[in-house]
Amino acid sequence: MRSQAIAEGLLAMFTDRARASSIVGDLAEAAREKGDAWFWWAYADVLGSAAWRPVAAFVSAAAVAWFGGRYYVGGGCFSALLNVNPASGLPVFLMRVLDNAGEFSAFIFIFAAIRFGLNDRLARLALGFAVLGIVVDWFFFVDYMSVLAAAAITILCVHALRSPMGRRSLGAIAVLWIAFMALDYVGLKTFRAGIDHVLGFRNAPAAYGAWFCFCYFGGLAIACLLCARVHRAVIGSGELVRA
Amino acid sequence: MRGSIDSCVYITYIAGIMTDQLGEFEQVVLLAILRLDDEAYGASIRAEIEKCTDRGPTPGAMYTTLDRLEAKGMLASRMGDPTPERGGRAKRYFRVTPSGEAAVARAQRAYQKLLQGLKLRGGAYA
Repeated sequence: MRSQAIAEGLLAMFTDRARASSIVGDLAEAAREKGDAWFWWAYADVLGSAAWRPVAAFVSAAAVAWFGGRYYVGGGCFSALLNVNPASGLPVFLMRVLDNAGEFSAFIFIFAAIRFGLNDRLARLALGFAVLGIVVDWFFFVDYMSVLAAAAITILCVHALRSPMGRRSLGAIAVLWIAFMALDYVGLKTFRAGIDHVLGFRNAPAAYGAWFCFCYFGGLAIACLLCARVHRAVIGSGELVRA
Repeated sequence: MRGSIDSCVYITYIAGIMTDQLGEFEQVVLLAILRLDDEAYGASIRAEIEKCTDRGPTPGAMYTTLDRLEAKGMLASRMGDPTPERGGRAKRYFRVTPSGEAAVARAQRAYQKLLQGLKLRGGAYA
């Protein structure tokens, strides 16, 4: 039936295609005895179970990006790379890069922790980078903070590189950082909205206009999709071990 | 000092047990799959649980549990052939892995120990 095919397609957005197909097949088989009403009730129950975590992860990660994205993150990285001033030196450059990496990592951590659980390797590694980024951000006035944070990140990376899953997680984070920078660079305003919010110019996405909202939330949706796809490709199926 | 070290060892031990511990519904699902043997797929598992417990699990909870048990390594699955009564969709067959069987046996032994010596209305245990 066409409606069942649509239902299968919708479910496949939150799990893999084969699994969605077998679930809808199970429900269709049982519905031959129980009726169409039961099919749709059961389908809504399965869809709710499969969808609430990705939806909650998207909403939470979007909130983090909104309230935490105070800088032009992607552009910040590029400008930091392009404008290294020998007079201000390496510490300032490192500070900018670490700060931006921390913002990205906070986004990845929130998304991965809700979507895949706190035991997920990507979530844990992203948490490490996010904490370091926040420390750099808060203690920017301390001399050599960036150098200390860079040393801490080096230790974190070396630790991650020691195990195969750690290497994969590190690779996933690197891929996501580059993808997020590229997203921002091509004009999707992911991670950018907060600057005006913090400065008090505007206080809601709607105040920026429809096109901005489209670019902003579209960018965030692509970022979340990238997180899920990269996780599946690099780390595994990503099926959550729920307690 | 000795006490604190013992506590740490105990906590580590408990944490190790907790990772393999099964919830009640997980045991029900694993037992249903064991009963069905080679014919365990979503619809048949749900029907078997309903038949044996007089209570049908909600589909969302059941598929979530199947995924969780598979992620824990207690279940393995394979895709079957498409069938017309399912709109041409394939069945996903499950089987319990050795670690799943061991976990069920461990959980059932714990229940048996708890029941030993009790005289419950509706059944005596000695």
